[in-house]
Amino acid sequence: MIVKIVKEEDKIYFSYNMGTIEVKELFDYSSIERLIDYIMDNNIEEFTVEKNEECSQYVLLIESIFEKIKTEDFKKTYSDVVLSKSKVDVEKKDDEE
Amino acid sequence: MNNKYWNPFDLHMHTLPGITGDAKRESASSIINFTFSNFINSLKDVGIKLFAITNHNYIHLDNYILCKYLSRKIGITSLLGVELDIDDSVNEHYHMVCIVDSNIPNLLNLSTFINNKSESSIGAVKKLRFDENDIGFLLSNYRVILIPHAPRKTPGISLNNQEEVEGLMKKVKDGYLCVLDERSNWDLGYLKNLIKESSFYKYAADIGSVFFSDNKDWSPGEYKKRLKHITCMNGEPSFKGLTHCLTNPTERFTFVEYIPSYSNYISKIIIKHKSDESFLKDSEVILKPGFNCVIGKSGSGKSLFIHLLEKYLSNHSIPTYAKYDNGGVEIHFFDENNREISPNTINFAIGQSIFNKLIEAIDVDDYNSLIRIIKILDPKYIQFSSFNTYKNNYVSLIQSFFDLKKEYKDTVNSIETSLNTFDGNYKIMQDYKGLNTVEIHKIPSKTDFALNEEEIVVIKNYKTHFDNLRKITSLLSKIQLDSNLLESTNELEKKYQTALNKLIYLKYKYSYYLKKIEIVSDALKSINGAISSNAKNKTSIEAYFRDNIPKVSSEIIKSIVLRNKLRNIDLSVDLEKMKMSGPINKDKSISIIEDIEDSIFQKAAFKDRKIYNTYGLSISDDKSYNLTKKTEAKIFFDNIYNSAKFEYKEDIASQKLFSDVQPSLTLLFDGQDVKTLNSGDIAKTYLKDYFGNQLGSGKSIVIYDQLENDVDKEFIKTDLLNFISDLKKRVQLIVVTHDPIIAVNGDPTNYIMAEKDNSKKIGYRSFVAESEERDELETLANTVDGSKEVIRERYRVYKGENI
Repeated sequence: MIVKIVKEEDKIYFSYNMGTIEVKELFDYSSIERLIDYIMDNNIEEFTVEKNEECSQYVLLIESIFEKIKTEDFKKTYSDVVLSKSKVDVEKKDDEE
Repeated sequence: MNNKYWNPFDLHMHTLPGITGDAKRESASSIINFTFSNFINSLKDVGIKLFAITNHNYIHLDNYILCKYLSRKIGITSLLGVELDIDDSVNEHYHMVCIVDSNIPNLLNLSTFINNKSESSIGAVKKLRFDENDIGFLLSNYRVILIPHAPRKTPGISLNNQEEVEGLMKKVKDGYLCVLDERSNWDLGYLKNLIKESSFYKYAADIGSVFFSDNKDWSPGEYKKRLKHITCMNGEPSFKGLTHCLTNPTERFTFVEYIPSYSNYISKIIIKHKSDESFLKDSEVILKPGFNCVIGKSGSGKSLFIHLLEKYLSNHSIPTYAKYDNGGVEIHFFDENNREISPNTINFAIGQSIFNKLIEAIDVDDYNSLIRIIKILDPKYIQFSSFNTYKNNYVSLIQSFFDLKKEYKDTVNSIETSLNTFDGNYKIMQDYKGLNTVEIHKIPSKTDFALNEEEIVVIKNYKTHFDNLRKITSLLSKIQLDSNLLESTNELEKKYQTALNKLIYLKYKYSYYLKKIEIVSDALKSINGAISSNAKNKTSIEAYFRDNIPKVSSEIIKSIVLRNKLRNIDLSVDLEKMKMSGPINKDKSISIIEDIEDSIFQKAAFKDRKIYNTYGLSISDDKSYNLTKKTEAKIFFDNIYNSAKFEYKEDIASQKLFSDVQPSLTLLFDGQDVKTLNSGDIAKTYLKDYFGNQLGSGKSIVIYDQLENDVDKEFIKTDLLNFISDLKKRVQLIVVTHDPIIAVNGDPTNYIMAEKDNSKKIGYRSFVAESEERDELETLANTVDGSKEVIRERYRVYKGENI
């Protein structure tokens, strides 16, 4: 999966393909979160960010993030928190019922 | 401990090595065992709800984003910041933790600014220092929280109790910790000065110790060990929540061990309309322990909310509510554990209605209303208890005085009658001198014989049964059944015969006894018939003297005793005992006076009929008597009793005494008659008393409508805010207000917004000021202050006064 970062009218966007759907979002925390969610939930192994001189800082940031989410430490922590979250959700649901 | 509303937080921790103040890269080993796994587990271990990653002179945005990503999955909020090296004007070196709230592109710019400056310092001779201009840049471009922090000081170590924590938080309130969430320049100069003039440094060590751990070791268990105290905030775990809590740090921050324990509060109210005609629409209202503030525009239904609570909690009809209750509503209350509870189990107090009644009572000079109000202010108050007790005692005294007089008069009359009779009899006895009298004996009365004639005949006729018995025993003897049978029959017959003989003898003896009585009686009759009538009279008079002399003697003694009692009885009235005055509340600011007009008793006249209403009975005495004097009081009541037409009845005293005497009643607030006070003065005293009472009342919930009515801003700012501050720590406070001082400066933990929609239906929603979902501060500003623009304009005006 290739992530592109572009600058349009002083705003930074990034885009990537989510299956057959092309996603283009304003560069912010919530969009980064959705990107990581997509990668982690779908066990995507190959993902890179396309170089763009105009947005080099942003590219570097995403590159660095990509590098770290590939680590075993991050993957394990991710699965732990997801497990822990679903446990909390079930307990919450039980409480509500 | 219930810490549902208190969130543990840590605003300074290191995740990756930065750059030191000596312009060197921190070694990899300066941060121990940081892994995402260790980091997340450490936060979970302590229960942190909000943290800030603040590495040393360097921002690792990628690391922050991933820590945020993982922690968000388990409901933990994160913030980004940086720990900067600062020097003040005397080169006192300290650290400043800067926490920034912004979007990722802006944070990327900030990290470029900070990181470039730090990177460029490496290898230089000069130490790495950020100055007031750098901080100024931060403040001008970001919403920032600045926390001074003395290096080499272990966090949390210097604070030993709740008072010390609160004392330090007061310093925060006084401006030693700055939050800037608006990009305005107005206080930038002031802040630069603070940084330069070392004011920050003064409290740097302690303030830092409350807000953060400065942790660098993420080995399992080490983070928890590092935290000497876990600091909690009573607000949403977010940047907005933090900035909001920083407006009232003494109440919004504390160590986990000092979190107040909440119980017995309403956590939720569900209102459901039962008819389309109802003015109310379905609402779910969240309430929190502490201060819940009900706000809304005029006519939006704020007071209606209080009336609704009052109606359903007290199960009373509330007229002001009734007109809205078309078709009724269902209302459900939930406790702190979110369980539905019956309204009658809720221990509450409502203050508003009493105040209105008080004002009304005073405005219309309504005596009975005033009494009702006093009873509300002091439920133990009994109207004119001193006067009524004294009156009852005095009535008993007069009653016993009249009783004594009657008894004395009756006794004297009886003695006089007896003495007159004695006198007449004495003269007769003089005439009977030498006359002899015979003592007449009485004949014993006849008694009946034990058996009557019929019973005697039955006994005599029984003899025939023995003949039959003998025949039977002769027959039985032929079969030699029992040799003693015949012998026993003979013996029995013999005993019967003996008894019969004795009976005949006794019957004869009784006939003789009767005859003897008859003869003696006839003889006495002939003797008595022979005595003269004079002798009879003499005998009778002698008997009279014998019987009545002791009686008259005892009556004479009794009359002497009664006369002495009457002579010594004290009927004077004690005016002071009829009156009452004194405080009826704890701080003695509210008192009452029950007074009696002295002249009623000091110049008592029969014609006034105030002391004793004779109901038409004329007593010809125009004098006035001072009933406080023993002699005059005695004469006064003697005259009543001795009046020629006065007819004594047993209950006359209680019916007529003091019947037209009415004490006056005065209610004093701070020593002044409430009738001379304006409603503002009354409200101030009443509110002080009301809240003072609620503090120690044991009530769980205190409800008040329009707290600010009739009181000035100074009173609201000082007294009312202090009351609210004290009360919200002990009870759940639900207050309706229009006033921004109460609604904003009072720092409610929760708001309830009353809103009327286009179809005029009233609904309620809850929110917290620091909500992330929408700008509720704007809601607040629009509702209680007009708008943020109004506040800004007001500030511009005040700024001319250099506030």
